[in-house]
Amino acid sequence: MNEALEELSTFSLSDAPLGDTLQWVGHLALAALDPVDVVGITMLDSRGRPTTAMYSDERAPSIDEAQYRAGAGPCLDAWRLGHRVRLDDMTEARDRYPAFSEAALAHSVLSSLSLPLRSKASDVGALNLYATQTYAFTPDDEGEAETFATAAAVVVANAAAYLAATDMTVHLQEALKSRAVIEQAKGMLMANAPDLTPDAAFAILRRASQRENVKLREIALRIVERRPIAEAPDT
Amino acid sequence: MPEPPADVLRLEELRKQMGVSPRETWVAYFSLGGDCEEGVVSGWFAGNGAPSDRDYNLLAQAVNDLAVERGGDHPATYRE
Repeated sequence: MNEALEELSTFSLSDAPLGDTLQWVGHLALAALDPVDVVGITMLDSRGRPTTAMYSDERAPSIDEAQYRAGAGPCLDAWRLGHRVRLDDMTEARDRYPAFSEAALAHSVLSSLSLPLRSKASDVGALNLYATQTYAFTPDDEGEAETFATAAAVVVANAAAYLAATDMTVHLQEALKSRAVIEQAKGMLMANAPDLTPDAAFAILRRASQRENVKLREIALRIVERRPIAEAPDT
Repeated sequence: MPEPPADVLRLEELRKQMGVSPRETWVAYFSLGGDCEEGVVSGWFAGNGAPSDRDYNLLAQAVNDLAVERGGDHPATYRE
């Protein structure tokens, strides 16, 4: 466990994809926590739906998908409630999480421990540990897993925040280019019709965008590059 | 807090239908020349203030551009 924590402490932000960081964290968990046979990390996808963003083998997403569909399961509860959820015997969890426990049993997973990944800044997801034995997680294992999850949450939160910031930078650079093209096109329209206001010039672009069903930036680009756009029908 | 105008609610509905995040919508609005901050734009959808006609039309165009990217055809209406 100490080695895993030391390893986590070496994490530094880089342009590595978030998926690589999650794989690294997940495999550290698998190596450091003895009873664990399968690891998964639940996070939200770009549409705000829970997804298994990292898994050590295919059993994790299959099991997790059952709880996402049902809207109930230990990983979701660990995340929502902010505390660990331990299931010692999957056959006894049928009443509490029927869909999840059936999926787990179908993949020979007999016990599980789910922990929230929480940093001060955000709730980033949940760490899901699965074992093929019943009563696999002792109180000591639970404590170690919690220590690991606390450190891992900081790493995952930092990686996610860094990725979001770099994504935003790229999107804003693109947005600034788009604004420049649109302003230039509006200027060209106004130069040809001195009475045209900036808003009226934008409305011309907007109507052409609607008529041709293309993005407004594309219409602006055609004007700037002096490429033809469809004429408005006579009214 | 008052209910947002019906046309603003419609934009929010379209945004959700497309599975587009509020941030993506704001970036699309900004890329068209919108000047309001992300928090202000999010507030309009919650009934915290209301966009001017100019900002509404920029936001409607942003939604329409996002729809075009996804194979749609200008589902949002404009204020004339």
